[in-house]
Amino acid sequence: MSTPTYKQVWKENLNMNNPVLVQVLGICSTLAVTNKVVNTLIMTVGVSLVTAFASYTLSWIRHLIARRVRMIFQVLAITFYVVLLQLILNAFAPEVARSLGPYVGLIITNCIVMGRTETFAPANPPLISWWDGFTSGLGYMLVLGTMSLIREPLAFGTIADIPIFPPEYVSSGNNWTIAIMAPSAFFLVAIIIWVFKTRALKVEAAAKAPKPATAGGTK
Amino acid sequence: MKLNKDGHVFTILFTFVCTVVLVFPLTLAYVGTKPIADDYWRLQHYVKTLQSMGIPADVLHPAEAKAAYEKLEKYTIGTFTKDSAGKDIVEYAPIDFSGIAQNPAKLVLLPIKDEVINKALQDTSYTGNLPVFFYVTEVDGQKRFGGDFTGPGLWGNVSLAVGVNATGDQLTGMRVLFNVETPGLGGRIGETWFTDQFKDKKPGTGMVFNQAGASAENGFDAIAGATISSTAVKDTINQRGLVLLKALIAQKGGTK
Repeated sequence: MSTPTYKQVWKENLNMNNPVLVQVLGICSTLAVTNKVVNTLIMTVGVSLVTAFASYTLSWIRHLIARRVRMIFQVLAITFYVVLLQLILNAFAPEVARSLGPYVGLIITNCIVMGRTETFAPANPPLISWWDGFTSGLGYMLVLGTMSLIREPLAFGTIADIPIFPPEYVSSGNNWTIAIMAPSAFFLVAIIIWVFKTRALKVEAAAKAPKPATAGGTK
Repeated sequence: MKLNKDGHVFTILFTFVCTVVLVFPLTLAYVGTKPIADDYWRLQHYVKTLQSMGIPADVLHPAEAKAAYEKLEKYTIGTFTKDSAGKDIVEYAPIDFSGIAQNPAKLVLLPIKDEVINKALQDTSYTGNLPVFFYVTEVDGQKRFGGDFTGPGLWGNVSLAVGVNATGDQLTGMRVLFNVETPGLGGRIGETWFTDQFKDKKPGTGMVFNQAGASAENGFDAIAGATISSTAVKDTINQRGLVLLKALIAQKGGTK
């Protein structure tokens, strides 16, 4: 397998191979942290950086890791970066650390991080692995950010804690309690996947369309 | 010599080296950031305790908050002992709430020093399993009483700072010291719009949340969709906080 280019990786991870929409990974945190824009942003930046650096580290030592013990190293590297992130948040952004609760620690078991370090990093050089991890995180951020931009206004009438609806929206109880809770993310992520897939199928069909013509026939 | 990366010896050695290389900087980072994190946690505790007793304080003025907190008279429940380093600590025992409710004399108060409180705060910063601390002070010639009380919430402990006036029939404030309730839902008990409702309420036989909501003398608005967290706050105030504060006033109340 030849090393993919930076552009290919970028395109794959943000679009046609988006970790949330196509691989359906990282759903646990997708449900949990998307009711506030700020929390979502910090969580997704955290995932991007952890995936990037864990991929970099593992790719760097990939020739030294025996295949059958690779998981030990994956967990070791991922845990290292996650704990580091947690310590930094606890010290310098204590309020954010509190509101994210256990989810920062749970980045360790985030399927996206595990997925990239298991598939991409062992087969590619460090820098492109860093880029792959980082763009996977951006793909995750793209979806989660969109969701939080829908959920927070419905739930609290705000975006990033800046009110966009009049205060009566919350005080009179017209806000959507379901948007605060995790189930709303199920509906939302399903709708986003639906829209995305419909478009993706069209793109695919368009790409395939000329082929039968040149082959001189249809199936 | 070519290394056999699949061999046992190499795998074990390499795993060991990697672990050491990664864990060492983490240890340094932990040791480096712990004092900052602890300071913030203690500052939060000082500020919220003072606010619950109706004394103005905020996190932007840490030195003032610390000084005001240190001026409070402080008590706890338990027995004094020494830790392995020979420092004073308090061993906390389960509290017999119903026994104390019937007979306030059963509450045995121990004066406690700030450094012992700070140590206890540090030990409980991740669990919120705070020991009970009582505070006595004077505001405008009137006594004020306060305390930290911990009860069970939905996912973990809920710790509250509750303050009352000289006679104990009116709340001077309430603050949430620790909670791990659902973020955005039960976790909203920590927001000031919720905690501010308790200021100047007259609990009588106990705080309630019902249809009358915050308009009742002893009522507050619960959080929609977070009944368990709201109940946890109510029960911790009624069954723990007010019970112990009444016993405290029975012993330390009256005028000087």
